[in-house]
Amino acid sequence: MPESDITILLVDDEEMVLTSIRSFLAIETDYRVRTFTSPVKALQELDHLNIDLVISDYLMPDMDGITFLGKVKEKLPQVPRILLTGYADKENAIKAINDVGLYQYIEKPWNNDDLKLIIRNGLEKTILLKRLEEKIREVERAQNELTEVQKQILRIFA
Amino acid sequence: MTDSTRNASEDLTELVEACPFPVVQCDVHGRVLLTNSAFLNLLDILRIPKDQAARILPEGCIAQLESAFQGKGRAFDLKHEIDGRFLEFTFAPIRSKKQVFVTINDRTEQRHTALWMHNYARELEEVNRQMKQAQAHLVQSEKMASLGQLVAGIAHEINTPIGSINSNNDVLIRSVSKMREFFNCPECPEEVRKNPDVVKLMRVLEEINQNNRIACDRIINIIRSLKNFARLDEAERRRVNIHEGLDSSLILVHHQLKNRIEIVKDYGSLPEIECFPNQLNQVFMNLLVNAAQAMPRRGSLTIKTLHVGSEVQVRISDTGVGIPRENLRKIFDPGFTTKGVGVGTGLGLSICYKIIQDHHGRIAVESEVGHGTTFTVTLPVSTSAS
Repeated sequence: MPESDITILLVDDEEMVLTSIRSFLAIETDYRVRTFTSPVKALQELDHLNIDLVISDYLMPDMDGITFLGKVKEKLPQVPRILLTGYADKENAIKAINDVGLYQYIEKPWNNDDLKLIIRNGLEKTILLKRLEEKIREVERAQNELTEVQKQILRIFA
Repeated sequence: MTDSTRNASEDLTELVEACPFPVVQCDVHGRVLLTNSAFLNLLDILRIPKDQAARILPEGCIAQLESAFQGKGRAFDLKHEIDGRFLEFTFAPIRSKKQVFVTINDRTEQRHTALWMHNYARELEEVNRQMKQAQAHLVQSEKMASLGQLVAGIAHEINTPIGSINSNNDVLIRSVSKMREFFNCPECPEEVRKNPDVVKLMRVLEEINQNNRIACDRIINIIRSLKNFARLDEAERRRVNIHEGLDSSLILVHHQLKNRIEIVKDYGSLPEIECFPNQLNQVFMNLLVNAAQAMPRRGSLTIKTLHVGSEVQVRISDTGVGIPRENLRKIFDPGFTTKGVGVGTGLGLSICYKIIQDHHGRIAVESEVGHGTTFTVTLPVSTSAS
């Protein structure tokens, strides 16, 4: 899947963080990036955004990042979810990893190379999962066909 | 014996008998002539047989009596302890008869009361000292807690903007490097690549970006140390590597050391120890600041850590002015300071002492004037084991 077909959703109440990460991804990757300062607004638009990966801040005024990512999980269980945290929230973040099934958390101030790697690995995981699903579907289809053939054969010889 | 003299003698006997305190009349050889029942009671208490009554008299009283007879015959007092009782004797010599009238005051109760009062006063003094120390500790820990909250709050607030700046700077470095690639590719016209303004602009951009990266790294490092130092999330006892605390404290006192004091780290391999990390960091900070202040000019600061049996040891040594012998005993007392008003509160080391005591550890000091001081903090690896 080419990078330009991939959409990343970025949520942080601080516009400056959104700008920093968007700028970095713009010069280093071809991902499409959608940014929101409000997780509530992001949730409203989630259905028609066709998201492949979500990065969210933790402490935000209208909804905290863990709740937000939990809601994203309900709608898009396959999409990797990454939490961006300050030091003080680290403990909470780690506790929440299991609750909402975080793919990773990134500590602020983040390192851009790490960020890029985590995004790439997260996407790879989704892509692999998607491929696996396709394979399973293919196998199922093949098996169904085989069962059908078996039935026909049995019918002929019966 | 005439009637009148006999009456006088009877009167005396009655008078003596009526006396509520022990009275005895003796001759110069200590022979007993007259006693009262209070005196006989006292003999009973002291288990002295009546016929050996003179044993009650203090040693040397006869000699003193002799000289009293030779002189003006003034009364004198003697103190004497027999069988745990404190007796005060008043000797009133009767010169004409070469006899002496002795009254005895049993001061045992007063003496015990005085002793008890004395001990009680000392106990009170000790309690008072402990209270003062506890109060100082409380005030200081309250201060540290609010300071810790403030520091953690500031660090948290700075974190987001510095994260953004740090990332932006990284993007700038990458962008400038891509511009450099562009200028170096064959498609780029010579007059653009070699244009002195472009060359200068690129050089300035690259230099500034590198500079910013170093500045960002330093801010991030300080924020991390502040967070680590305050460790507000770790107000509870937990297992930590104390090297982290030492390093964070070192970064925070860096401004007092830089370019002046050489730092020698001699870290051994330590197990994680069970402690209140924010409190221990306060101790390390205090000892490091003291070491820095002990070296007004140049010097070296050595931090040595070692693992000895079930304990770990941290030795912080300076090559500073040293502590005079007479002050060494007092340095852990609350309120003791040699730094003068506005520099030291005199609470630092007393609080260190208390913190280490709370950790079931020890803090010791060795010092030589003109050569330097070493503080040794010894802590058990696990408090439950000790």
